[in-house]
Amino acid sequence: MSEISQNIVDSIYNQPLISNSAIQLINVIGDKHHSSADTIQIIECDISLTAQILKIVNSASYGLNKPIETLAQAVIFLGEGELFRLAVQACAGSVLKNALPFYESEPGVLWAHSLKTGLAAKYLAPLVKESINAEIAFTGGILAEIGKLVIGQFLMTRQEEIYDFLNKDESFDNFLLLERKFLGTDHCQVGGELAIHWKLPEVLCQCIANHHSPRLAKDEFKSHAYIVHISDMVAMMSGKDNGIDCLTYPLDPDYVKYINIESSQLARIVLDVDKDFAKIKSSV
Amino acid sequence: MNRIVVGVGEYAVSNIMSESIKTYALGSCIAVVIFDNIKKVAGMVHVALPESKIDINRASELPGYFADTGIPLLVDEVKKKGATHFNKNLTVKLIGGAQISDPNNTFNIGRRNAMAINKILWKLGMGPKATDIGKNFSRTVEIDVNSCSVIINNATGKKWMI
Repeated sequence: MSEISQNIVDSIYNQPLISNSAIQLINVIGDKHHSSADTIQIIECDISLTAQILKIVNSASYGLNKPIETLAQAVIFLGEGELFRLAVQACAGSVLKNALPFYESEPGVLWAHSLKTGLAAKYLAPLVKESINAEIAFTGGILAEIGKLVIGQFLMTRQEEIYDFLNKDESFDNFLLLERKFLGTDHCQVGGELAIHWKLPEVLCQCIANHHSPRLAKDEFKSHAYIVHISDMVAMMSGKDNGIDCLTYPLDPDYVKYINIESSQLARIVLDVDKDFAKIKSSV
Repeated sequence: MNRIVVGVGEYAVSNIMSESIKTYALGSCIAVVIFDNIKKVAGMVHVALPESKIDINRASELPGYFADTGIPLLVDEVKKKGATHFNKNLTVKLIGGAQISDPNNTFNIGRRNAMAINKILWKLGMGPKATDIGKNFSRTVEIDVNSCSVIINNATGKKWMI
């Protein structure tokens, strides 16, 4: 991959952080010796995040008879994994909810795609041949597209000529090549750099940088990278994603080396992701 | 013009000539459009998966989500709105069903949707008059009740009719 131009590098360093609480949580959840008390402690220090989580848990979509008033109660009801997912969703949502004009993503579309990718990773994690950290896979799904936040603005300046190019060459089937053709880099490379800048764990940096080319991830992170790759495909297939690049990335068929999945299971996952997505939408 | 927007698994039918029915970003889902151009009745269902047997509760909540529950329902509803009662006189068009190239044949939901829809239409004595199915891009589609013209567009804004 070529070197990223200086103005894109500057933009990476100027991107707002996903949130300090999210980065602490992601680093804690990646440590297999952590306890749920560590997770609760980080969330409790963020009053706004705590309020958001309690609001979601007490929404009609969870159907509780008695309100949950503390995070300690929430972790008993939800389990630590679900509490973590709610916290990451709440933090990442504020960064990913904006429109991405170049990609023809209206406000909320990137967030919907990212959330569906994360949810698909949650359902695919048990199908992975080697044991993986399901919460890290979920987070990799949520953050896979962060590079678009940076390069979208640069691609926008050349939107007309890029759209002309796409409409003339309908056989063009790899949007990464288009990003590289016009910018010398792509949203995966830039997203990987942004993840390093945010000091995310290496497994996540590798997932984000290689979510369209999982075979290039380091061996110890390949299972996570393939999960995020496949989850991104599930999110693109499931509809509602009207981005210009939707379905224009190749599938790496070597996913079968890492994930046991059949066509009928995939349909079930598409359905479960849609149901979870609808539940989350109604709870916020 | 009043536009009715159909979400994933939803359907809509109209006999009001100032209305249109539209669904966005089909992905591997398929929009089944059924209309009677003489009586000016049009309907659309946004089908996500082929068979309801994987979740019958979901099928009762959102029958349009599955081909086997959504299409018979749509046929009934266009008839209730005044379309011909002869299935063979209803016009059917299919749009969407994008495919991801997968030699393992797992990511074939678009193709499975198309097969299931054609099978159900055949059982109902119907068949598509036009299709724009497959390939690797997401489509948005709209039908205008008055003209019954079906207009498709991709994400760059390019439009075409079937």
